[in-house]
Amino acid sequence: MVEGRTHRPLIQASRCQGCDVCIRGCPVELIPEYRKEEESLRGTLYRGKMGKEMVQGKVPLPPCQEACPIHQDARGYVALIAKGKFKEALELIREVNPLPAVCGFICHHPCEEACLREEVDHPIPIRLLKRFIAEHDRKRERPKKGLRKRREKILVVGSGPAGLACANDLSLLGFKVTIFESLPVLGGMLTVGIPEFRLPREVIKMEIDGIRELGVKMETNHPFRFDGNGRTLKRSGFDAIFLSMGAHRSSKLDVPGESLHGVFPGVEFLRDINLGRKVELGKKAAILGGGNVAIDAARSALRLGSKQVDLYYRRSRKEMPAIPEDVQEAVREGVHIHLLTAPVRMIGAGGKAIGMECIRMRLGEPDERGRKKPIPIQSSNFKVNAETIISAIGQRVDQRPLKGLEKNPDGTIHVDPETSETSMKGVFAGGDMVTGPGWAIDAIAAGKKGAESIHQFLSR
Amino acid sequence: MAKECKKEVMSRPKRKSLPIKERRKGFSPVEFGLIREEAIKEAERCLGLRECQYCEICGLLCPDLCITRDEKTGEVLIDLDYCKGCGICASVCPKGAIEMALEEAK
Ligand SMILES: Cc1cc2nc3c(=O)[nH]c(=O)nc-3n(C[C@H](O)[C@H](O)[C@H](O)COP(=O)(O)OP(=O)(O)OC[C@H]3O[C@@H](n4cnc5c(N)ncnc54)[C@H](O)[C@@H]3O)c2cc1C
Ligand code: SF4
Repeated sequence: MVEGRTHRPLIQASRCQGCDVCIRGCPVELIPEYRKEEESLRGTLYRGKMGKEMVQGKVPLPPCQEACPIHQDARGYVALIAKGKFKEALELIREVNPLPAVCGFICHHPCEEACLREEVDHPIPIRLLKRFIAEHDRKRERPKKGLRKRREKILVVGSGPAGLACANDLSLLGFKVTIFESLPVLGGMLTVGIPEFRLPREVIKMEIDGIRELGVKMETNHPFRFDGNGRTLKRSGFDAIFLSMGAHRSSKLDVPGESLHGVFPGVEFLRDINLGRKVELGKKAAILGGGNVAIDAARSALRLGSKQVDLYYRRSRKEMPAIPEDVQEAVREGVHIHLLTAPVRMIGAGGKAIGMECIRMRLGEPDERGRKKPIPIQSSNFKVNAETIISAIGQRVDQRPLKGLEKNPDGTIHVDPETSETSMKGVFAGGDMVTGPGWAIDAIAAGKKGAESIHQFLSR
Repeated sequence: MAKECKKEVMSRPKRKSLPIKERRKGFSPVEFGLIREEAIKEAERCLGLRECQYCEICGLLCPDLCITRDEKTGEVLIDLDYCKGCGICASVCPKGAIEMALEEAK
């Protein structure tokens, strides 16, 4: 039994100093200036659920949660793990993250970088803890909220992390979701980019199966394209479309000899391996680039029989976009990393690559994105031998199926930053195809945002 | 009573992974996951453990007196039938262990 409060506060005018503390502290907020819900104490406590925007700077999130693109409550599930409550920890993670096991393996963990424990000894291994939880109880069912069914049908194009996250959230909201995937396999770059030694295939399968069980239809070998006449959405028979087609075309090096036999584009190389196609590798392989694609290609080449693998990057180690742990592992495995070096031309004999000419670089002023610009050092050219050359210097968005959509100068899709809607009404987009090659967790965040926007769009 | 947080310095544990020799033989997973004991030990290092420490500050400040403590188990209970959702408890809890959620309209 609980008793109610029996007293009423009365202000003794003779004693009141007008300090305001009571007004600011009053949760019921009877004073008109404090009525604006979003800015009120209640607005901050019911964070993001009450007002439109989260109220910045009031009740701050823990740094790990703040750093996470989907604001996962890392502190919360770490606390549950410490108590041995593994089931509850997974439930808490699942509340916002549709692909916990995938993140547990390959997330670039901005949370750990933000972790304050760094100042004591070293950060909490949040990613590994999440992996532990996700693996501990593989079969655990997903929460089935959204009991309310909705008629509207939504098409998600592409089954990468952005598409999967969007499909997951939309079907939890009760929508009928279908995914079209042009490749014979599901998972996007998780499946055809990231190699198996970093992300076991059964982990991806488990997550995708979980999402399928929510009622999401998934059709592989089903490419989707825009006709360019603006009627694609109407004709498709869907009420809204979410595009998450990624960035799958390797950027060109723009040096002579790129079309020689033995020169591969990085993502195509990894895709062939991941689809079980045969790739022929020479004894000596040279990899160009400093991102995850380059590192993964180098480590794959070692595993496929190349005796010597050299990686060339035109900036210094600090600027390498790849996850530092992976670079470290690559070095331990025997990949030689040559920094501040760029190719000038490929050398061939009889149509086959036999090596390349490189030039040394030095770092100049930072560019607009804050990365130092590499500048070639005159007459520092040198030659290296390699039968296999893999160029992994970036990826672009495939423009062919995207007729009629407004693009940014670099070929990514232009969307409204608030709603993720493209220049076509009812068509939303997110993930690598909007941001350019990025991280899985950012793609997941984009998918979730897309789901939210589609929900609002169809509830208008 | 609230416990002191664990702040003794721990050296970075060596993580096991697939031996280098094995790696060249194929595409087996390189990184090994944590085992139960390791996971708990690592999780306990978190400086912001958000669990209730039974300080009862929330109960003291609840205007509806609906936060009580089970004398037998020591657990802090919130009687949601009487709770008006003012949010004082969540704002004063030093451990951030109380979270406010919007009630779904039925
Ligand atoms: C080698 C490599 C390693 C990486 N390592 C990491 C890592 O360690 N950590 C990390 O966080 N991120 C990593 N990333 C990045 C991460 O994988 C991507 O950022 C993420 O997958 C992007 O998700 P997405 O959903 O936007 O696109 P994608 O995952 O690229 O998925 C797009 C999907 O759409 C399909 N599609 C394209 N066009 C069509 C069409 N017309 N019709 C139907 N379907 C279509 C594609 O086939 C694909 O399956 C890595 C990427 C690569 C390539
Ligand atoms: S919930 Fe928070 S304020 Fe209430 S007793 Fe527990 S630690 Fe203290």
